[in-house]
Amino acid sequence: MTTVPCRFYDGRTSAHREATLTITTERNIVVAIDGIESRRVHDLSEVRIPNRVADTPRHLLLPDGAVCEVRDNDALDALRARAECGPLPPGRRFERLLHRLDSTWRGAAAALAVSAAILYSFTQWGAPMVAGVVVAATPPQVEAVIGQNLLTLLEQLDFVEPSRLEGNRRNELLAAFTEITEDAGVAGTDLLFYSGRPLGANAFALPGGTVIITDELVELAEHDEEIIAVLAHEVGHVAGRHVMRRLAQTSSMLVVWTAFTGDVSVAALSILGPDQLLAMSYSRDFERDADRFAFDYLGRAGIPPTRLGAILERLKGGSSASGLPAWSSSHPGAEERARNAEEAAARDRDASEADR
Amino acid sequence: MTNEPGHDAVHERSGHHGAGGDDPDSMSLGDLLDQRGEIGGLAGELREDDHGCDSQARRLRFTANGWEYFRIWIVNVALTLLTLGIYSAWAKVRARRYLYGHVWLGETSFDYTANPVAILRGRILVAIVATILWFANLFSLWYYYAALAVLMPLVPWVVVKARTFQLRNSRYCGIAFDFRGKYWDAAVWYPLTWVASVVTFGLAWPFRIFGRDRYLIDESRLGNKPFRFNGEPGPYYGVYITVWVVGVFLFFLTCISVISTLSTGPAEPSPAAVYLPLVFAFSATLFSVVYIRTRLLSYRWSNTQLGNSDFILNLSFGTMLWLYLSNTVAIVGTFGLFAPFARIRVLRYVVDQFLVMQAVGEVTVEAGDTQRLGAAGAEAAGEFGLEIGI
Repeated sequence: MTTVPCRFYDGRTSAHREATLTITTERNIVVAIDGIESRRVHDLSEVRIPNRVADTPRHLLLPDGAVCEVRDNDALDALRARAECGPLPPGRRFERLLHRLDSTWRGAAAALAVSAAILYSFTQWGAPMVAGVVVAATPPQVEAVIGQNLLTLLEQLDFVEPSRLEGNRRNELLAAFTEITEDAGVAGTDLLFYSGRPLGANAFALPGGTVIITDELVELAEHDEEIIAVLAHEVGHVAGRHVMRRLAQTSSMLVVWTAFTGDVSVAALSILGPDQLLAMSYSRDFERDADRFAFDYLGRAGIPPTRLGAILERLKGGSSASGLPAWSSSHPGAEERARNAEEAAARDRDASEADR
Repeated sequence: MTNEPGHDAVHERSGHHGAGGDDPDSMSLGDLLDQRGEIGGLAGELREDDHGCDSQARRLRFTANGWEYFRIWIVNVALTLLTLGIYSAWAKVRARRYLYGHVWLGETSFDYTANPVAILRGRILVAIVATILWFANLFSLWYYYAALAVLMPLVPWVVVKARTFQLRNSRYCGIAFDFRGKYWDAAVWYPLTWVASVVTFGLAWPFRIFGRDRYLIDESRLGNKPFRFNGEPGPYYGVYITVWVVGVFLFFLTCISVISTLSTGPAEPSPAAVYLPLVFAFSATLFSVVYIRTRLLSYRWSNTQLGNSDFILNLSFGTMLWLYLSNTVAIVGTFGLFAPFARIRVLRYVVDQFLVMQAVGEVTVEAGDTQRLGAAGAEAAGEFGLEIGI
């Protein structure tokens, strides 16, 4: 009869004895312990045999709490296979499948392919969908609180100073802004003026719908219609709740990457890589969305859509072209956007000619 | 296996004079040996025969293989994703069993015996609580705070349960570890000292970590033998003050650069604006995580006793920093696929530095009451396999 060497622990002390183990055709496990003339017989069903994990030693738990440590996994599996005749229960079949999967390169390759397919589908379709649902469920008050906190932080860190624009000028721009929001039916938005030294010529939307524009941008504009174009673009972000959606997308990606790497800290670090790229490509989509929104409004207001392209060109000149490839940027290339503006302008002309 | 664990234990002992020649990190091995010399004559009393669990001074050994662990990990990931996370409990047990089974002390490796169903139950419980909080947050922030206040008394209970579950399911030589911590002690080191830390603007935090460590270690045991922590709060303050000074500086830079990229304005951001916050945030995280982990892990274990046996763990911050930095670069570069290798690399370094000084005369460990009561007693700890990072 074939036997397998094992170490026997009685479960009461850490001392061990060398022993041999065998499984009889009557489905009994027999442990013969060296040194003492002792044989222990247990029914196979009463002994807990752990799943095989690569070639780590398996500790068989006997009914009285004693433990048999078996190193020779192949021999143990062979003994077991001989004793188990007839069809295996599903649990045992799954156990064997699992071992075949993670002990062979073919199995690992299949697992890799399945994981990659699921992760790809999630980033492509799942995350934006989840973000849409989450953002739809987020009450506007919560969003407003987040936006307010960010603004307070900006002020505390001296990123923005009070605007130096004259009251009249501000009122003019506010009126233009109100026209845009009323036209778009976006409620609860607010336009704030700041002078933002480190931010330079800039305009951005905060969660909750507040739009911020810097004095520098107002000064950079050669025509008020350019400022209106930029404001329309930012209202586009507000209407699409883009900032919140981007936050939700990043968070849902973090959850999935945590499942993937099995560790929050590792996920948080690795998310800086792949997810940063994805986040930027999402944000490029958001920018295109906001551009489209702006073009639509400008068309209705009778403002040439090229105004947006014009101020973008000037902004780009000011910030000294980045020279980064398109996928690394959170905004579509300025040329691409200028081209889109030209196309929108062309469509606009066609439409108005058709009207006539 | 070409690397028989027993062989190494013998080598470790006979190589007392010239050991470390084949060790890539011979400096720190030398340090370890020096410390062993200080304990005075113990090396001379080492017995020549090798009885697995009942011998005198041993280095822990780690024999896991990165590629083997990668295969286990990727199959776990695939099944977890396919089952919408349900398999994660089984995945955890499988990965843990692989890792525990490759940590050797003498001729025996450790064993992890958790029941995946219990872990699944624990995770479902956590998911339910998270959902309640999420909904409370949706209705109003006050509901959210109210829900948090209601849940707060559960925190010490979760801590005790989690630690008990983890230890009772870890075994060495057929003997289970155990935890005897009480709810009220956990309440001091968990919610109450959080409050104290907030009130003192974080000044109480290092003391809290010290007290938490002492509580978690002093209430742990292997079989009937208790662990004892001899550390003091001073070194904890040393570690945290260093991290604060460096961390505050980097965090400030991070905040500034994050805010400058928050703008979704039409301006094309410069490459510096895109990458600087990442660099600062990364440096701050990496430095504080690695420094705290390295120093506290070494200090904690080097000041812990099990019965009359001591442990020595001397991790080098430079080596750990290199491991974490290279791991991160590799993980990011491989879209996460390096994660299992990264884990093995860190574990190999830490486990291989670990030295157990077993006191003369302490040959065997006896099982604790819980284990002697039989399977029913052990199962009682496992209704909910709660896990938290403690």
